[in-house]
Amino acid sequence: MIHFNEDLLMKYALELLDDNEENKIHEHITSCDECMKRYESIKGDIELIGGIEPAVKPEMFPLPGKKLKFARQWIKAAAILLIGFFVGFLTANFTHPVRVNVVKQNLITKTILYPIESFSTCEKVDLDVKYYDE
Amino acid sequence: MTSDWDYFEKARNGDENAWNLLFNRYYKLLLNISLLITGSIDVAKDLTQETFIRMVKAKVKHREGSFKSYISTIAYRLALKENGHLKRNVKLENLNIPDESSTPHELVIKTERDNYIVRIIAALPDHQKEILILRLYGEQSYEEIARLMNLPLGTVKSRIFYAVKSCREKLLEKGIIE
Repeated sequence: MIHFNEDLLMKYALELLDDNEENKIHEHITSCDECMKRYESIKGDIELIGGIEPAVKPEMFPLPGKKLKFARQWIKAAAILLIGFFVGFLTANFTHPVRVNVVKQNLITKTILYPIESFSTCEKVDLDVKYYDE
Repeated sequence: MTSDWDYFEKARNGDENAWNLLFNRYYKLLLNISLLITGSIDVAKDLTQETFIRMVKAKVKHREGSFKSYISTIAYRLALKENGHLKRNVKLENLNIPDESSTPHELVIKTERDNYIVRIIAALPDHQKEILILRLYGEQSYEEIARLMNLPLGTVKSRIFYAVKSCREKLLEKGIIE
């Protein structure tokens, strides 16, 4: 019986072969105790190389971002309040328009000799009509 | 069954239990990756913490691979970056490099055998060592490693083969394996 060499068994253990080669080796080692033993030994070596664990206790630290998340919620709440305030401020002008005092007054000019009724925001009222009559 | 990706999502949403579970499950793995690349336990501890912080804050584009692969990639990238920084500092400050018998690894590795294995891995050329760490410790697929390192798949496979072969030969010489 032809046995596979170490390199090929190592490639098999490292899953480096294509399906065809892999099947060949799989079929062989399942029926060849010697190759199976060598393969398991190589696999154990690989596990040894990749299984070093430092004897260090994990230094636990709290979940990062939790405080930030809490702060973010506060910021969000403050932003909502601020936006609400501005929206309220702007819409207040529509619902409660600024009151304008409109007073009635008579204006008489030299060229126009008859009184004109008009409206203005001027608060000066009750001007002497005689003054304009000139 | 809850996957680590689910715990990851919970941890990102502030679930302390999910956070603790992931921390306990992956702390040693990440510490190992950082330690094997940088060679300093203090740096490795800092990098491990940094990895967990980045894990929570990072935006994950896809979840095609395993969570282990995702988190080990973060640790690997941080360790490489730090390693470059450390190397530059050593060069600039002209510090004394400790001899093999008093490497920082020895402070944390349980047995003489493990200590020797760490030294063997540390002595590998960088291009082999990094792939070996990503594959055997990070449990990344060869395709993932190829993508991460921007290398052809064949090159990745060839490097891992020679890295493991080299380690085995040294372990055989030392009589650690038969």
